[in-house]
Amino acid sequence: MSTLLRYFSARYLRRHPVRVFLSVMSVALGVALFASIDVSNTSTEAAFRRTVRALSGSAQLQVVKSRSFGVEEAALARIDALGGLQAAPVLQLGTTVPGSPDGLVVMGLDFAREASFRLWDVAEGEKPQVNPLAFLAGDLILISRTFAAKHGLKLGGGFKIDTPTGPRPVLIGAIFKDEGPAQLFGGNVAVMPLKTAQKLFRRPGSVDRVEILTKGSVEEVARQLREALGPDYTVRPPPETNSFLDEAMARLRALLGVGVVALLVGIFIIYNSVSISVVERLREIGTLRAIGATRRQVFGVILLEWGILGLIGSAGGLGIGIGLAKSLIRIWTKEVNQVAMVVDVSQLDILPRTIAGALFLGTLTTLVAAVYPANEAMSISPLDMMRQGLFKMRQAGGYFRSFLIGLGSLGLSLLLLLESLRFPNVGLLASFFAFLGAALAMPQATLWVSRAASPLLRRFSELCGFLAADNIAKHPQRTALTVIALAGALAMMVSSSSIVAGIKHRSSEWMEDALPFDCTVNSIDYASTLYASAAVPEDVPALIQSVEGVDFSYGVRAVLQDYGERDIMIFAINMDGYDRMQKLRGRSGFILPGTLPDLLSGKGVIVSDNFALLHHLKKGDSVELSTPRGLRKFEILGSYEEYTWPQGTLYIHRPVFEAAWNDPSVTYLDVKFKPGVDRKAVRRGIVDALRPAHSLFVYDVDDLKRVSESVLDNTLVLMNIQVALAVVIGFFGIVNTLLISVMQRTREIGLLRAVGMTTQQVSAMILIESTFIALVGGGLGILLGLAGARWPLALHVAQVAGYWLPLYVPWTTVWVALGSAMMIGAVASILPARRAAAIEVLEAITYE
Amino acid sequence: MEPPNGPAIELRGVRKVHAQGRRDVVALDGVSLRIERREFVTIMGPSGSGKSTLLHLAGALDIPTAGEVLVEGTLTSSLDDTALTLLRRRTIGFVFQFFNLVPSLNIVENASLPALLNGGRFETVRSRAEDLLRKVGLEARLSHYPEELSGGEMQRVAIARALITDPPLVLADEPTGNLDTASGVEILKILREIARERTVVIVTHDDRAAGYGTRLVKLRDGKLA
Repeated sequence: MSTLLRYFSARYLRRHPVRVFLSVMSVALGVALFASIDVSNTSTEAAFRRTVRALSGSAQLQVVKSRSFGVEEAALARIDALGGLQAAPVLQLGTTVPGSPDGLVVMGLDFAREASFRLWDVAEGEKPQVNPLAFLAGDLILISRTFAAKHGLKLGGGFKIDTPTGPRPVLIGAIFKDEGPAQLFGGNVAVMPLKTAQKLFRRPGSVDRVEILTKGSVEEVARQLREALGPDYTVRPPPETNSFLDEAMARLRALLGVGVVALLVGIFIIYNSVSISVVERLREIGTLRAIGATRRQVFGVILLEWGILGLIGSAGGLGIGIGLAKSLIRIWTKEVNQVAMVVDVSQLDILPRTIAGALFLGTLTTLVAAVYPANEAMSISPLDMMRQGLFKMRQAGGYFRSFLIGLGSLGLSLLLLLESLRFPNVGLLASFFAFLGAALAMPQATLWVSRAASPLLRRFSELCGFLAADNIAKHPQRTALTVIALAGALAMMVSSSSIVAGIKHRSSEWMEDALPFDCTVNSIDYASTLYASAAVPEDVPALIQSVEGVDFSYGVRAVLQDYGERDIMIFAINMDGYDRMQKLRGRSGFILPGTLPDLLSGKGVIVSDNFALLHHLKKGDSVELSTPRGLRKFEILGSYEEYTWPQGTLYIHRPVFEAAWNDPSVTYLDVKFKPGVDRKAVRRGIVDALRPAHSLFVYDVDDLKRVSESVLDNTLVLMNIQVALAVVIGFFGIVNTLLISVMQRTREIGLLRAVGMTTQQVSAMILIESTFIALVGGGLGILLGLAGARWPLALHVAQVAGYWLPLYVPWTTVWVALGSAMMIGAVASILPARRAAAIEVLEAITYE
Repeated sequence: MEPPNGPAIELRGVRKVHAQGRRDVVALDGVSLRIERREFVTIMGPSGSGKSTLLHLAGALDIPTAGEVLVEGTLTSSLDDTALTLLRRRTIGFVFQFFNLVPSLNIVENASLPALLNGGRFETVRSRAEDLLRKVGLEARLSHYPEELSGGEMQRVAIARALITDPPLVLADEPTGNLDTASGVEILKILREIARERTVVIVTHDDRAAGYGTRLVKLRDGKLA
């Protein structure tokens, strides 16, 4: 076998470097897509675990409140009473520093209990418990060395942080070395004495979790804790993940679909290359067979040579994938942490599983693509092989059968859609069958299309157009594979853009209907985070009311709450104020007709459509929510189409929420101006009134629309990086197909040149062929993309986020897809056209 | 510029060297030859004597390493690739040993090729192609494809193709080399007919061919014998 590999394979491959390069690159890019997603995935998960571990130190268990937020400090006394363990309360908050774009994670800790849990190595200053009177100097904060350097801060100096009562000055009591938890989030981590943090962030008597350390049996301690604390508390090891991360990871994993299509495209390209390599070597293979090489030996050597190329491509792909993962993660963590500051990816985690998986996947793909042509060639007798020219890879009769199987696959895809919502990911499965169906039906369709297009192409150029159409019709399978490869990449681009356009469009309509205010005063800076439990200080409503031109305002409390497997969003709103504001503009928003009395009385709530869909609930059903005062049932008064939160939203009257959840705070204040006032001036007035004492943010509806669109655009960026790679593979596919086509027609082109075809005419012929393939691929890609967005992907979105989206045609993307296809077609023809034009006429016509 | 009544082809001290691996092979060595209009010249010689090289130079498929080749008064070595192509397309009809037909085109389309390349539309070229095919005895095969024809028939299609642009010069490289005796004779007769109106040059091993031509040129080791 090594002899065959050395004399038969190596020399052949050396003679065809471009083809080998294209094949290896197509595997490499497919593998790169997979590897990048896998590495991003594992790195993010590992980083989250590291982040949690660093933040929770050596804690073996955590005590948190079930289905709600905040552990009463009283629970700590019950924990301590158990004995045989150490307990440390932790208040962990995300906040901002006025004037800085970065977030800051603040941990409120009890230093007397801290020593065994976390390493806080002080570089300058001292830990507060060393000097119990330190608090007399002011509200102390301990920061990392990086944070101090970034903000030009010194020990003993001070700065302001945003709190629910406005920006508050804090005093730097110590600076940590950048070790342990202090190195997380780029050093944007600060520590405060627990009491100070509770006071500044208005969480008196409450912490987020209590961490537990024991020398005894962890299981036994957990059991005792559960017994002592009752069902309102959860005792668990530090978590491996959380719902923000899960939600974001699901989207990351959905990108694997792009990798699948990319590898399918890779299969097509390799299939083409192997086929041509076999056809070109028929004489050699025939000779080898005639002089004693067995069928199996020759079959084996072809598989081996491509297996080696596949392995090389996979190794290259792994390298590209790791490089790609670095940039993916940068965009990615920004997106995750915009929702909540939960993960800090400072290094890539490349598991042996990822390396082995990537190498295996790429090599296997190559072998799968090589088996058919290798086997096909081996079925021919040595004598026939030596009479080169008698062999054809596949007869036209096979295309119709493949077309019928393709129709079957498309039918199956439709059937899966009928069985809607029956099992998870059915939408993705339906997309796969639809794509497979299109791929199988394509060769026959190409045959028909190229025949139908022949007169049209002849209009462009009588002979060149005819020869181009004729060549496409001669090899429908080869052309079809390229068409479908490009179509697949463009379909993903169109469908993802259509889904996002749909969400944007519906979100915009929803915001128009649901938000009746002229401006909203907010404790959250949307430039750094979308969700935070921060609250508007208590004096703000009165301050705003005093601004000239302000008519009235109402408060909104927005909190996340456990519900089933998901975290839902609760909007507690002063419904009477909201209703009044809506009526002023003749609308009702989410207050459905006749529901106001029941909302005000606390009998019921309004839920979002996606909440109803995800939890299989409808009007009249009841929803049970856990509150600090126990479980409470509310009737669902109706459901409303809205796009706040992909896991579902619930609207409740704020006084009802305040009483049940014991939470009087307000996250936003929605403000209505008096009729006829200068809106800009009033808004300016509000900003001026707030500025001296508060760090709050004022937005109007258009600002909120922009924030929502920028979040969606960020998601698209991730998708588009992947799609761009798939398009590059599609490009390689066309170059490969055309190169092979030129090589197979060397003699024909030589003859045409001999009888008077100019090199320009040869180039025109290749360009027409290339543009035709690209345009058909582009057109099909757009159709598949729109169909995919309309049915299977819409179903997938409905299953994941509960949004049923009608089809939106993203015209810009459609034109970009078509333009890209044409450009790809034109550029892809350059190399093959040069090759064709450079064919030596004499060599071509005298070879037989 | 040669006068219009000058020779169809003229070779002046032509030398052609091919690189073969690491060594150079002299295919033609100082050949001078003048072929007049309406001559039917048969070029013969053993393998490697330079016959085909001479034909390729005369057909503007190649240019000499030294010396001059004039085709219909045009110095080929002064032309770029496009001009050489246009010279071939308009002035020369080729007939090859292996026919070199395009398998996916039927015989009318094959015969029409050079005229189509010249910008002609198929509808206008078609009748002339069909006439030529009838003249070479293929009236019953007009809708056939190359693979459905015998070797002799394929060569007749190649001859029709060579004549489609009505070139003053027809060059044939071993036109009977791949044919049985009877078919070979048929082809030679057709070429002799053609030579009544234009210049025909054939390169061949076939001894019978000399009897059909008006002049026999013999080559040996790259020189005129």
